[in-house]
Amino acid sequence: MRKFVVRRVLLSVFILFFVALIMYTIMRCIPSSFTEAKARQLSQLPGAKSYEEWLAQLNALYGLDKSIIGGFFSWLGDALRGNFGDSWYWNKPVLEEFRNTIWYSFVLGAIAFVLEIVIAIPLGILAARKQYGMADYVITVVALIGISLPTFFFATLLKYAFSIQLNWLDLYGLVGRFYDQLSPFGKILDMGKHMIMPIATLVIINVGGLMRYTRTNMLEVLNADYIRTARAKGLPENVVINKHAFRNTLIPIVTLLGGTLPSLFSGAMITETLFQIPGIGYVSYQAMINGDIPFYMFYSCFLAILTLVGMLIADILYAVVDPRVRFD
Amino acid sequence: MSTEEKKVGAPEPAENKSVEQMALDDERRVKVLSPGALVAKRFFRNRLAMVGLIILIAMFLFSFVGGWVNPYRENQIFEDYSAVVKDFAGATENTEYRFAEVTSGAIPSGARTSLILAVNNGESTYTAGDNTYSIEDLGLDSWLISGTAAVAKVDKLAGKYIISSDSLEVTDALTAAFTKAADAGETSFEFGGETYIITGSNRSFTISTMQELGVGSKLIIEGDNLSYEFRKAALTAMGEGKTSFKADGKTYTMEVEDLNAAVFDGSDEVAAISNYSIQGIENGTVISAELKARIIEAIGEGETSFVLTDAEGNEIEYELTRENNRYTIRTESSTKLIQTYLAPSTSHWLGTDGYGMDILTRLMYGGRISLIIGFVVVILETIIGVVLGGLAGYFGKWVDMVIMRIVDIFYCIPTWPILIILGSIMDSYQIGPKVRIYFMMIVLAVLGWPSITRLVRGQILSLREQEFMTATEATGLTVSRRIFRHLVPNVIPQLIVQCTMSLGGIILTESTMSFLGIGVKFPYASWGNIISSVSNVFVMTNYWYCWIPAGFLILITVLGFNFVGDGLRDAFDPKMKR
Repeated sequence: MRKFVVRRVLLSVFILFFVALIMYTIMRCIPSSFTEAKARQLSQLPGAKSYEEWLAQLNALYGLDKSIIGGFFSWLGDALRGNFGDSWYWNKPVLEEFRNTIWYSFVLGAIAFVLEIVIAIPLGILAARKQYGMADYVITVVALIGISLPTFFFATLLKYAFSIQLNWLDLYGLVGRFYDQLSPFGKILDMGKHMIMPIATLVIINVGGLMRYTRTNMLEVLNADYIRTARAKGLPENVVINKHAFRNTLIPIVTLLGGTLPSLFSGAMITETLFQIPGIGYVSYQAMINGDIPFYMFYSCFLAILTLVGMLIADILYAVVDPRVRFD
Repeated sequence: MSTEEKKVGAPEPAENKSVEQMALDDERRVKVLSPGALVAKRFFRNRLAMVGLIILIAMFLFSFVGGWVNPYRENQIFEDYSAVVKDFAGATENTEYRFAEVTSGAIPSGARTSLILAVNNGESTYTAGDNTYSIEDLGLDSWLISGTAAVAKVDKLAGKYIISSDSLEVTDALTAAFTKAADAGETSFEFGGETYIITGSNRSFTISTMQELGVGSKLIIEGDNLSYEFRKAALTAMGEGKTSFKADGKTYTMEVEDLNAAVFDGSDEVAAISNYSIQGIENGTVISAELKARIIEAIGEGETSFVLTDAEGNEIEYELTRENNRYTIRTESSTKLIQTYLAPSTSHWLGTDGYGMDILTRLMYGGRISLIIGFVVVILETIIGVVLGGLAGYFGKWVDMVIMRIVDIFYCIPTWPILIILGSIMDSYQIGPKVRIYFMMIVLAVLGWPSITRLVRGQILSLREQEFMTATEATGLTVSRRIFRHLVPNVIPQLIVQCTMSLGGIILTESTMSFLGIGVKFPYASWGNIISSVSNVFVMTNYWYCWIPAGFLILITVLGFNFVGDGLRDAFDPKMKR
C-alpha cells in the first residue's frame, strides 16, 4: 500500500512537471510586445511600480530573457519557493488574491456538492430499481437535460426568471446593497440569499452525471449473483436494496466522490463569473481574459495539482473501500 | 375475443405437422439476425434514442438545408428608410443689426457696435476708433451709415501745405481752401460743393470726405445674390411704406405686411424681408426663399402647420412649434435606420438582433458552425486516439508506458485557462475570425484526445488476450493489419458511443467559448455568440427572442447527441438488460 502511494505520488510529480512545462511554453508564445505593452500600461496605474521595475520583475520571474528551458527552470525555482509574482490585473500578489477568494469558492462548491449527493444517489437508485419504468425515464431525461444544459444559458434563465420577472433575488454579487447595515445573522442570510442561484446552477448542471453513474452501478450490482442469493433467501426487498445492493454500489460512488473532493477548491469559473461571486473562478477568469500571465501560471498549476490529488485520492479510496482490491 | 380464441385454439393439423418436422434452429423457424441488425433493432426500439435521432435530423435540416432555403444571408443587415419627424429649421426674431456694405469690410466691427449706442442716444453722428460716422434714419430701425474716408494726405513743409492724393485732383484752389481752413484751425472746409474734413495736426493732415458705407437694419433680406443697391433700396422703400422701388435698373414690387415683405420682380419672388432669422438645424440645409417667406407668413398668422410644394412637386408638411421667441420648424425626413431588436414578425420569424440581422438566419448558420466544429474535432480526436491507443494497447511495455504518461499529462492540463489564454494570445496577434475557428478545432482536439486513447487502449488490452488474436498471429498477418483490421473494429461500438457523447460536450464547450468571446467571433454566427448579447441586461430583460431560442437550440442538440449515445450504448451492450 505504502509502496503504491509513494509510486503514485512520484508519478504525479513527474506529470505535474511536464504540465507546468507545457503551460510555460504556451505562455512564451505570447509576443514580447504584449508583455511590454502590459508593463507600460501597469506602470501608469496610480501608485504602481515604474515600467522598468515591472519589466525587470517579469523578466526575473519568467526568465523571459532566457531560453524556454532555462526560463522554465528559473520560474519553477521561484514557484517552488511560493513566489508566483504580482497579478497584473489585480495589482497585488497572486497568492494574496488567492487567499482572499478561495473560501467563497469552497463554500459554494461544498454546498452544491452535498446537495448533489443528497439528490443524485437516491434518485439514481430509484431509477435502477424501476429500470425502463416511468420513474426511470423521467430521471434519465432530467439527468440528460442537466448534462446538456449550457451553464451560461441556464444561469441566464434563472436570472431572467427569479431576478427580472419575479424580482426575488439580486442579479449579481455576493452581498446586497445594505449588507453593511445588517446584523451578523442578517449578513449570513444575505450572503445565503445571493448564493441560491449559483448553487442551483451548479447542482442542476452537475447532478445528472452522478445520477447516471449511480444508476449504472446500481444496475450492475442488482444483476450480481449475491443479490439473487439474497432474494432467494427470502429477504424483504427493502433489505436487499438498502443493505446488500446499496453497500456494494457505494464502492464506485465513494471512489468517484473522493476523487472530486479536491475540485471543490477549483472554483466554478463560468457560474461565478455570471453571478459575479468573488471566488477563485471569477477572479482568475477576470485576470486571464485580460492576459494576466502570473495569474494564469498560478491558477493552471493549481488546477493541475487538484486534478492529480483527485486521481490519487480516487486510487487510494478504491483500495480502502473495497477490501477485495489488492495492490501488486 | 375471437382473435385470441383462434390463437389459443388448436392449430390446424397440417401446420402442426410441419412444425414438428422442423429442427429447433431451422432457418425458416428462427429468424436469424446479424449482430448489426440486432443492435439496430434494439436501438430503434429505444424511445429516447429515437427522440434523440429525430432531434438531430431536425437540427441538421435546420442548419444545413435551412440556411440554403432561407432568403436571407448570414450577415445581411436589415435597414429601413423611415420617415421621422425631425427638427428642420429654427426661426428667431432678429434683435441684432445686420449690415449690408458698399464694399466688403467698409464698416468695421467697432462702428457696428457703436451704432447701437448712437441709435439709443438719438445721436446722428458718432465716433468709433479714429473715424467719425453719421447715420441717417431710413425708418423701421434701418440706418444708412456714412463715414469719413481719407481722400488725400497733406504734409506741411516749410510753412507750405503739399497735398497728395489719388482720387482728388489737386488744384491751387483746393490748396488755398485747405490752407485757409487749416490756418484758421477749422476741422472742415467746403470746396466745389463738397464738405471735406480735416484731421491731424502740425505737420501732417488727412483730408477726408463723408461717404456712404452701408446700411444697418434689424430686418433681414433673404434672397440669392442680392446687390447692395437692391438691399438699400428695399430697406428704404420698407421704411417709407412704399410698395415698389427701383434698383439695378429694374423696378421691383413688394407685398408688405407689418415687418414682413416679399419682393417681386414681375411675378417671380426674388427676396423676402422680415425681422426673423431662419437657419437650418443641420449644416448645409438649404432653405429656399419661398419656404422662408412661407415660414414667416405662418409665424405672422400664428399657424402651427402648413403645406408647401417643393421644387419637385411634392407636398411637404411643416410643423411649427414656439418656444419663447424661437420657432422650430419640423418636417418629416427619411432617415436610414438599422432595424435592431425588431420583434418577431412574418418577415423576421424570430426578430432581429443588435446588429440588425435576422436571428433565425443567424441561428441556422450558427448551427452549421457548431455542428461542423463538433464533427471536425471529434474526427481529429478519434484519429489521434485510435492510433495512439491502438499502439499502446497492442505493444504494451515501454510504448504503452510512454503513451500513457503523455495521456496523463494531457489529462491534467486545465482546459479553461488554456483556452482563455490562447484566446487572448490570438487577440494580441489580431488573428482573423476564420483562422480562429480552425485554430479552435485543433486546440479542442488536442485537449480532447486522451479520453479516447484510454478507452481504445483499455479495450485492446483485454481483446489482445483472446483466441482470435492468437489465430491472427498464427496465420502470420502483419502487425498493422492485426491492429487496425482485427482489434480496432472490435472497439468501434464503444468508440461510437464515446464519440456521440463527446460531440455534445464539444458543442457545449464551443458555445461557452463563443459566449465568453474567445471562440467564434463576429461576423461568423455561433449559438454561443448569439446568446452573448445577454451580457447587456437590457437585452436580456426586453428581447427574449435574442437569446432564448439560441440557448434552446444548444440544449436540444446536445440532448439529442446524449439520447442517441445513450441508446447506442444500451443497444451495443445488452448486458444491462435484466
